[in-house]
Amino acid sequence: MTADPMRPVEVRITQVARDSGDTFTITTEPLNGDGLPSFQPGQFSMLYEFGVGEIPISISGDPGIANQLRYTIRSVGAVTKALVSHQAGDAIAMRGPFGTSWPMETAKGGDVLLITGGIGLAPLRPAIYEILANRDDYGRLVILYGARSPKDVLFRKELTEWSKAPNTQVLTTVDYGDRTWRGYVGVVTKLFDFISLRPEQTTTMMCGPEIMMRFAVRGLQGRKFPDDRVFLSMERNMKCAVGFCGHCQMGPYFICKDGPVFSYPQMRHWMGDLREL
Amino acid sequence: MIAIDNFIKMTREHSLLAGFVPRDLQRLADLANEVRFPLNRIIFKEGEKHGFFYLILNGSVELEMTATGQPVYLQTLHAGDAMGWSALVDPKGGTHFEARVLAPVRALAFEGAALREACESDPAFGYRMMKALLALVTDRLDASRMQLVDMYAAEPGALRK
Repeated sequence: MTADPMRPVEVRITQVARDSGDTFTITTEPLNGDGLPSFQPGQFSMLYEFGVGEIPISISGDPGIANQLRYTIRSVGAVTKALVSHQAGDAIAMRGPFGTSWPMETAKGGDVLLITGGIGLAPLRPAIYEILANRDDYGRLVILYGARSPKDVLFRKELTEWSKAPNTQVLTTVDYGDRTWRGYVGVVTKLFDFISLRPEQTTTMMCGPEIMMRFAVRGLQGRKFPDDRVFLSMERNMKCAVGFCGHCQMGPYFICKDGPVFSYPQMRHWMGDLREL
Repeated sequence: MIAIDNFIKMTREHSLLAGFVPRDLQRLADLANEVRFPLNRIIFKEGEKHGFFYLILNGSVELEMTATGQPVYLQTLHAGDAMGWSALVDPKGGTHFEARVLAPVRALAFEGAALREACESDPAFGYRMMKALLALVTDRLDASRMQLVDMYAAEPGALRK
């Protein structure tokens, strides 16, 4: 984490790459000689656009690469629009990384199921890098990814590369197809019909819209995947990132400090019940 | 007509049949015919009175609708899925989608009129058939609702607008 969790440090943008119509990945490196903090898959940073504002963004890069933090950002608000309109060489500011991480250690020795939708693939990408870099530590890897339409599919090239990795299955579906799309069409939970895993030995990690995760949990329970091996990343309106301001409170938890990655038993009573204020 | 042993083997992946008793399966086997459709074949067009209900054994099918002059691809169906349920519940209406073959299909076809007749003449079988269909339609409805919510959109919740 940055030395003072409340004080942003400047970082240099080295690349802004478009992933889809409104989604971009920016790569940052140290601006000064201090170096960037390392991170665990699933953590997020607070990115600060000078004079505009600060937002939480999950880290989507490779945890094995030192002094580089990547963020995949959907350009939908004032801060995100400003962030993705930068050029290489520009400076922004960053605090973090913050929060809990995906259970990479717990998952070792068993199968791993990743269920993700939309931009939810970004916070899971570091976990995928980690598993592929330590392939022998994990059993079968299955990635189920749902996107809105073919043009919204993120990291297409990488999805293809990942599908070629040993003992790895990648299935992508879209809610609405078009003439260019020859893959699955339908909701991501439908992909459960095409996978083969050992439920009792599988760690599931999921990130996407809450409604998707609720349906996915229901599907997992129907297939006897144990609740306590299901982990999900929650999103709320995070402001301070250190559990001080209370903006991201969800039941007894502060998403920024106690999350964003939770086990399903922690979230069971809160998912879908609490609307963001 | 399909021999009952074969029918049971062929439909192993079809959870739709989970609640049927052996007598029901025999009845279905008697009504089933194995059919094959090549790549790109349109099995039925939107609005057509097609009259057949299918259990897909292999291959895949794309369901599409026309919206503002362009096809919209709504769902792909695969082994273990059922297709053409309107033949069972709405004999006078047409199909709701166009079904196009994405990968060569092998399926069991049931004539809707014969299945309806079987349901009428054996209400216990008919009840189990309708329960199975309702489960199928509920599944599709859930999926449609999730699509309608447009959950991956920048501003999800089309229903609110």
